[in-house]
Amino acid sequence: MFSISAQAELVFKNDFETISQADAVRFLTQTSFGATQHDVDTVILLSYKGWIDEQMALDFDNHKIEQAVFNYNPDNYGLNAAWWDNAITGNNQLRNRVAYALSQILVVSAEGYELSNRSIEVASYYDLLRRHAFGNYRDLLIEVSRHPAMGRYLSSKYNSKAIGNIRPDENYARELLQLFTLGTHLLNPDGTVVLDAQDNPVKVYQQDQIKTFARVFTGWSLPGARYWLDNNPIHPSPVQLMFDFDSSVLSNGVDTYHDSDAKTLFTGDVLAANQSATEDLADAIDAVFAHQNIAPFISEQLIQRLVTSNPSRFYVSRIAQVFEDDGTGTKGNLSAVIKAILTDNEALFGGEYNDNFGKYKEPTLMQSQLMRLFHGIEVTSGIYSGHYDHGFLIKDARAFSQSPLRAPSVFNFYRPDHYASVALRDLGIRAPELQIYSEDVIAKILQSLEDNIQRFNTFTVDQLPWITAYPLFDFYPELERLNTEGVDALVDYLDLLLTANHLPPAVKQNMREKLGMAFTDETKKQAIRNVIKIAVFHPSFWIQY
Amino acid sequence: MNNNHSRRKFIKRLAALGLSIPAISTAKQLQLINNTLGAAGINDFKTLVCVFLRGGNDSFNMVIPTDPTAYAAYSQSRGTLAVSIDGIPNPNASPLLFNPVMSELQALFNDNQLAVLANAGTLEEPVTSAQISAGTAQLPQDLFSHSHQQQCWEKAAGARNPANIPAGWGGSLANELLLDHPQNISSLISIDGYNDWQTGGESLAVSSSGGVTNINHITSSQWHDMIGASAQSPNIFEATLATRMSSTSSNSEALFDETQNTAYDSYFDNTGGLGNRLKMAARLIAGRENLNQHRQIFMVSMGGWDTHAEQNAVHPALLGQLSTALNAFNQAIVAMGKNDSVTTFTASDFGRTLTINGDGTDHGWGGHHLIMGGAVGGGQVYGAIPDFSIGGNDDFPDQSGRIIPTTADAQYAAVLARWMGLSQTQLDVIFPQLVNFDTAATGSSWDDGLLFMGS
Repeated sequence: MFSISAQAELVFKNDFETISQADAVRFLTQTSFGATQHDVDTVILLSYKGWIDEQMALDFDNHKIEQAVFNYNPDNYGLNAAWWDNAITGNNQLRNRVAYALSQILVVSAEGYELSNRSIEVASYYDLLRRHAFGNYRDLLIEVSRHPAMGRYLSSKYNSKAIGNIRPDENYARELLQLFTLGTHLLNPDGTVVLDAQDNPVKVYQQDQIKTFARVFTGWSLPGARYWLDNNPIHPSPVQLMFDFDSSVLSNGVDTYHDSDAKTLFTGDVLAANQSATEDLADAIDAVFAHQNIAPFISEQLIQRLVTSNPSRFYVSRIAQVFEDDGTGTKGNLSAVIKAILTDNEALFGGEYNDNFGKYKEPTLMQSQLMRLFHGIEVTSGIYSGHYDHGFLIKDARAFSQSPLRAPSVFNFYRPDHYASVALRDLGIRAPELQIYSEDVIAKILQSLEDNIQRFNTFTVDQLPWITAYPLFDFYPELERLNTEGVDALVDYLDLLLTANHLPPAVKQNMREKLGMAFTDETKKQAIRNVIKIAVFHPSFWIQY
Repeated sequence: MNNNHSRRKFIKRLAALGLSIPAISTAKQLQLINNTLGAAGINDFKTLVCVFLRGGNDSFNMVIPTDPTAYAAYSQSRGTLAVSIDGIPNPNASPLLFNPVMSELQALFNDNQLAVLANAGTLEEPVTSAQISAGTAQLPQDLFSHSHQQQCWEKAAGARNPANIPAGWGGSLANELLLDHPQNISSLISIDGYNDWQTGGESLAVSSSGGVTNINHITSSQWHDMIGASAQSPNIFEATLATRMSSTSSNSEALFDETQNTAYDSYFDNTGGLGNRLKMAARLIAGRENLNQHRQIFMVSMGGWDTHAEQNAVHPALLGQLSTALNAFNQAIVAMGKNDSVTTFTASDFGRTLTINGDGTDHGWGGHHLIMGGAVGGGQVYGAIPDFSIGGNDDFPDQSGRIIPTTADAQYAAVLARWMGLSQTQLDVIFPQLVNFDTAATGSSWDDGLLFMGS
């Protein structure tokens, strides 16, 4: 991707030089659910590192999403609404964006039958990701392994040691290794696959090891369970983690469900016999955590979710090194990893050296960006009074094939190594998000953008009380800007906030001409709608540079 | 009709701006060239429909062995998940009978409209448990992993790394057919989302809800902004998206009318998500002559088959939906008089372990499959029924009932591709591992015993 000389140049570039407005927008596209002018000003004031530090120091509520779902309704709508509220209005933009990235690596989904009526548990799981977003990946893995949403989703709840003709369930063991920590093939520290003498990938584990890990994850019971296999316990609130059944007061000491035989995980990693489920879990996670794959495997995916689909091998290598050791001898320090990802010279300046830097915005992130920028108007009546009207966000997200926390399977909405076409494959350019951007989804997004933008101006603000069903962007601030600062200023503002200044000159000229022909507030409002459509239909709005 | 009219106007507007819809892929260019040259195509119409059961169907519980010895082994291995059927075991019955929740498909089987292919799966060459233990077998990459095994299957990868194979066999099939059957529109249609099977060709994306979305609200100058300059952008993301936006409009233009044809919809009432997808496929099959689409290749998926838990509750419901939806599809196709030229077949990540993990099963390898249609030699079981015993001849060495396939995915695929019109030479290009299933010593051919589409 990068030539060595370009790479050397990057390393020497000073990241404390003046941050332009466009730099700040680009940075906020990587770190938030959408830039506003206020955010831009804050980033410029604080610098990148200062902004990150401030975000990492913000208070947050351990059970925020779970509580919000309670406050709505513990149903699918409540879960969706709570997620969107948090993304659009939350102050913890960086924490939430990282949690959203983690939710696409450590996947549970309310879409599957396992969690279809478990909105509270899924919300609690998302809170778990938020809580650990700047914590340690090892601690996160322990709690993910014990969370009831995961226990249900990947059937590790009530997983029993071999009894009679029944053997332990391999589901969680396999996906923990394949998707959450190591992948299937041995990796170099820069994320490339290690090849054997025949040029074949080297396997990280064999089927026998999956079976051994399956034995590790035995003996866990849903929180609140009254007996083994109690699938509908009275859940404690807030949701608690699964518990070690054999070590609990419920166990009668006769029927035990954890496999307490010795287990050989990777070569040299032996779990002694007679350990509890809790001890085996901790030791097994330590063994996985010590593996050489986890740093590049997780680092590269976090880079892909936040910054670029095709990081250089140098970039992956630098981040993997921080994952391996944050400078104090600690492995898996996510705050250090996130800070390194976002302040790496490639993240800050990669686009200046490489036309193909960056990634497609996820549909969800396009939705949230527009809501944040164009002041999605608050509904003031109905049972969800005082909040955004979520109905259209939820309906659109579904049509766009990306409802948050509702991936079609544990393999997420797209695979990190997805090549969208033979041409891109030939160039070695991955574009994971294009896996959901089929022609049909693109058409639906264009249709929805049209509808949502056009609906502004149909109503005035004082008519709002009786409008509950429609998405409404508020373009009055844009009208104000047009009236006070003029056509050029509004076009520049839209280009800046929507695309980090990537609209081609001809497109901006077209926008200026349209605005220049409007002279009354009514025609100006229509012209504003039209130029915003021109900007968001343009591919540069769909790309994070 | 009005919508369609405005879309046509929109295409004309593009033309007036000097913007033809750009050629989207080499495949498309090839179609246009062939068409211009008036290459002599065959005039018949054929449709192949892949129903991919995502997650790994426990097909050993979809059709049940009737032979007393086989059933005893099956029942012993499956424990509490064994399906019991009145009248089984029965040495005189068909070798496999459908799970009772699939009565529609049993009836189609009895009516010779449906065949079963026993124990097929990803293979590079025939392998035995002993060879696997000895490390001398060439195995597919990353057995038992969902993502890898779906890819292996969709790309007929054999032992090759599927990540390095650019095209799926569906896409390759379409490209080969294009040489002999020129048509203005791609053969490949994907209902509800991306798949690897059709990669390498231009796949038309259609949604089960509504077909294609009408985007005629976008003005020609907006399209000019999007397509005109951006398709040539040095930024590959911009260029790729702009190109996809343009094919969005051309696909919508081409397919819109046919996706609105509701003539056969009533067959699909109450047939669930799969039924909805097959309903959209049926609309397009009804319209294939209008589309001048001599060859159609559909991918229709159904998820939810990864039954690690609660299998006795979940799996029969899935099988019931599959049975209902396939039966509805068959009725619709028969009603349009196209039964002899539409063939539907199942695929899945893998079969599942015969052994159980409590209340479910884990990832296996070989599994049974279904082929449906008037051209199918129905009412028969093809391939070899495996040994269902744990630690038996067909068990993977870890002895959990991960059954080694006795027929390769490539053999299965090649029989279908041949029916669509490919020669043996073309088959050997797409499925290079086929030769491993010929036996020179005995003169046997890769397709022996697999003539479910005739010879």
